[in-house]
Amino acid sequence: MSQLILFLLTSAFLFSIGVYLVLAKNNFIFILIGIELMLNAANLNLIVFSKFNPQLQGQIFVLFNLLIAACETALVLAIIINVNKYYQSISTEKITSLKG
Amino acid sequence: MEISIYITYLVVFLIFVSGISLCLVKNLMHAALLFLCILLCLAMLYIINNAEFAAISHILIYIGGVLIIILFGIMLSRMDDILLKDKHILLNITLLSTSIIIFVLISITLFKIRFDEMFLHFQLSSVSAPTTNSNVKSLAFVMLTEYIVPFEVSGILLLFALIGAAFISQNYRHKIL
Repeated sequence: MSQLILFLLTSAFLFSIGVYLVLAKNNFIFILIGIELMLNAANLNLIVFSKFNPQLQGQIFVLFNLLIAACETALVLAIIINVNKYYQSISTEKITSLKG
Repeated sequence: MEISIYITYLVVFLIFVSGISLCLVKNLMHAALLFLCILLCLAMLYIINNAEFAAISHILIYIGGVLIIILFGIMLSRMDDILLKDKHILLNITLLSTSIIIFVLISITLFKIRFDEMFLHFQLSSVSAPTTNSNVKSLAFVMLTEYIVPFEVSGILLLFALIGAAFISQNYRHKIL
């Protein structure tokens, strides 16, 4: 029982760390790390509750989540490399206009 | 049983320490290494929760894929942005208190839920006992029968995402952006 609360608190902590990183840092890669942390918090919740479910739906969902995270990271890094080529920077302060 | 509880506390402590230092660190490379530490600890928690297959695929995808891509992103971007500047101190305090409020709200909600009534038929006291049989076999069976359509669709999604990433990051030297 106390272990369940401990895991859920860890998940809440990871989520709030991710929110802080997304809001406060002005670097695209930090923001990406924050988004990944939030996804991982959701995954930890699913795994913890999947222990009580003999049909393993939580673990299946975690596998699909991992795949979505991999797709998202590849696309975001491609966009970051393009932005860096165009603006010579990956800071969110310097990117002030859309479409050049 | 005792050892698994101690390992759980140690891993959770490591996650808390590296999460807090991830908020404080200024160097992007150090942030990537702290992210690696958090990912390894999470894989440990998955194994403690009887999800071996999810732990192994977590290690393969996150540490073998996502973290390597993040390191490439750090190396391919400009070096003077690696040491990032802080925002204004008032804004920083506001954002920090926002995330702390989110954490406190989730914690209060968790402590208000009666989990032992929700899972009454599941014998919560024997949760931390290690099970001898692994669930990889039943996971594979469910994956290839009941969830075969999402499985294939997610494969196609991954293919499209990788093609799109390669298309976006190609060299536009002969084209007009």
